[in-house]
Amino acid sequence: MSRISEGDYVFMQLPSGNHKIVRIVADSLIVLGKFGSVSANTLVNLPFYETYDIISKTEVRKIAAEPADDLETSAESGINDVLTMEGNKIQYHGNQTLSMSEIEQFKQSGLKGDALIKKIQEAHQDFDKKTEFSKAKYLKRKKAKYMHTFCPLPMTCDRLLDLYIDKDPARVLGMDPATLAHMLSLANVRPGGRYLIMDESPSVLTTAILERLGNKGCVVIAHENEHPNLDGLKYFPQWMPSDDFEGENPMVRLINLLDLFCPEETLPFVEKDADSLKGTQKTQYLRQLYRENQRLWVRKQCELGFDAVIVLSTLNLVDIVPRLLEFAAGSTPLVVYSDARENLVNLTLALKKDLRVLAPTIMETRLRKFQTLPGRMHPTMTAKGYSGVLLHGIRVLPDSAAVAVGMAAQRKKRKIEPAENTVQT
Amino acid sequence: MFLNSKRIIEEGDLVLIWISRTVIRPVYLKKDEALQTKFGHFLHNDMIGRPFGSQISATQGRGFVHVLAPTPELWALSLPHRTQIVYSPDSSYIIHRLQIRPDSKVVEAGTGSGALTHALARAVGTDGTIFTYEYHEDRHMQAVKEFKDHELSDIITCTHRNVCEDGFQIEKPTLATAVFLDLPAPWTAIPKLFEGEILNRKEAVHICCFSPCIEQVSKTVKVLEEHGFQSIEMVENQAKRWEGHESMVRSVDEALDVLRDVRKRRNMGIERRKRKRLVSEVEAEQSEEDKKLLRGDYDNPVVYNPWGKGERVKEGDDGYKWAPVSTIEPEIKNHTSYLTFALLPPLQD
Repeated sequence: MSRISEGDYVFMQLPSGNHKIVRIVADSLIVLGKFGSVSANTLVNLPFYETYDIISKTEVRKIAAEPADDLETSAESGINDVLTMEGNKIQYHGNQTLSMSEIEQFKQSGLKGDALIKKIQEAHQDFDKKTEFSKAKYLKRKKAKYMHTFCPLPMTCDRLLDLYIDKDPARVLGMDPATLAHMLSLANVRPGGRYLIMDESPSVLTTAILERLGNKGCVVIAHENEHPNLDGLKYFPQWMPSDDFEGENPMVRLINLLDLFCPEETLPFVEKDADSLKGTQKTQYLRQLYRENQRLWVRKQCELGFDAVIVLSTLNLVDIVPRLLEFAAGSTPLVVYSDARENLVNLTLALKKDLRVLAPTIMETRLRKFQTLPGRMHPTMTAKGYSGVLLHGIRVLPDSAAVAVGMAAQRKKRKIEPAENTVQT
Repeated sequence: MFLNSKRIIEEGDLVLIWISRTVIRPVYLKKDEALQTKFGHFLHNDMIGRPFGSQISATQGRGFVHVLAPTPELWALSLPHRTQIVYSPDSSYIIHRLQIRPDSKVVEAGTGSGALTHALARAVGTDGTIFTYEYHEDRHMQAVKEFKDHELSDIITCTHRNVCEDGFQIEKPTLATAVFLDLPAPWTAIPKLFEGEILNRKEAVHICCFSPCIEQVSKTVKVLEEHGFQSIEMVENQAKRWEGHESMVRSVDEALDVLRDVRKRRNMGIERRKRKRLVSEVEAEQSEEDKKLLRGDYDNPVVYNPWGKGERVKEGDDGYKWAPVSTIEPEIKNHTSYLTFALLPPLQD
């Protein structure tokens, strides 16, 4: 995974801080919007993680990477900045003598990248009066706009989530990376495990689990619609479940809620002699057979019990979670995500009465990013708001005969045991 | 043990006995032995042969525990804290950002309580390796024993070493793609990563430094840059634990009725005292029956008590109105440490 290969989906980091996912299809043109375009063939075999300047459609040049915070050159001038600022007033408008159309003309005449930025800088009347810090900031802004560079990164679930958070956080129910990571740990996800999940995001949860499974284990997606949302999975073709009856042990298996909860309503499968069928009839039959085998496999696993139940769904949780618990083996984790704490409070109360989940607890994790310039370290001024929380507990096998200490004795003698024991969670 | 999906409890198994939220006890099950807790006496024989997750009653009938299979998270909860442990909100994010996968090779310094090491071992599975270093000899010995007891020795290689002075090199190349440094001075250990075959320079190497102070972060960032690390980012992870409860809904009308009731009873009291005086004035001539009649029936008025004041009301009891609420834990982890992440691109040939 250190070089780009044909057929890969590649996560392109662009000078503006935005990103784009592209697919490397032979002889195609990779278009990066205003940052230029380059032929896919040129990208094949290029190492990941480096920054490249687009010279032409068929030529790129490796350049030194821009550090994430590329202002540190001026970091030590922080105190001097204050001195220069005194007595130097900078007007806010009209310093840039080049007009937008003039810049466009330069661009059309072939001037670009560093050379164009130099031109723009020279045309700024008061550039020298700026503090070192604001000079660096100005250039950074111009680079983000006019540089024709990109940095290819391999596709990972983490990057997929970043992309959705930027584009449309509602699609991932406002889930942040730290909460997703926490779900995986609390659900005890490990290579070889078998997990029953509901994933209403475009398979972000699914891919996160698959990354942890390697090529051992299985994710069973219970979906409420006739077809599950596998949008994000397309960037990871190795895991995409196929309908072409290939692969005996696919890592992703699907079952809709009707087949899961009401197996008696599943239409009976009629076995046929595949060899006696022809053409599309045969293909169709083999596909049905494949699906039937998947369904049987899932039903069998439901009886054996899954290694965790992980739920990311907007269905009424109080309703869906107790039904899914039936398929969890003893002492396995239950993890439920919701974008509103209230939903999980209601679920906690329902589970406390249910007794099949030990110590249902709601966790909220929030990341706070910092600017890391030496001497200028502080949390970033703004950040995305997240409301996602998760509930976790352990599926247990209650014994109806068990009586908590102090439940009956409590009336006779006050406080014979600490309070927590009277309710023995 | 930590890495399988065993369903039935057997003799010799390590189980975690869940006694209460704050008391989880690790126990190796042995025939004819018993576990004594403040909630009763529990026989190992009652647990052996049952499925994991079973609720087991005490011998005297009252009191129970749950028998759980060990996981890194439960294990961390059961730990007597030898050192500050890396808690699950941090450890899960570290594993996520370090891109740890089944078969990854990971360098960790120091081992500490081994809580994170367990989580790392789960993530890499039987095809990966964790190379963990600890300079404190007792902690190192303790960790070695624990990983052996937990059947993780094949995955975890422990070394007793001060990496900041003596580096990371051991007999075999570690060739790690992920590094986690939880050391007082990570910037002194970073240059040591480049001595010997420590890092797999054919792949990208992800690093995380875990430091409580911002001054440590400053020094770390500088040294990371000097050694070619990119995408340096520092974050802090704040976790809060909430619990779901029911809160009694007390209406204003009921409050007004309580006040009305108090007023009514006060008036009754005045009335009663008046009558009492009357009774005592004419006491001599009155029979007991007549005294009662004179006092009226003001002696034991029924108090209006819509919210069970003074009674033992349990959350959710019938006869009251309840609303779902969430309450936060009384003490939150306000700051664990700063997490500094960076990436070292692969070397090109």
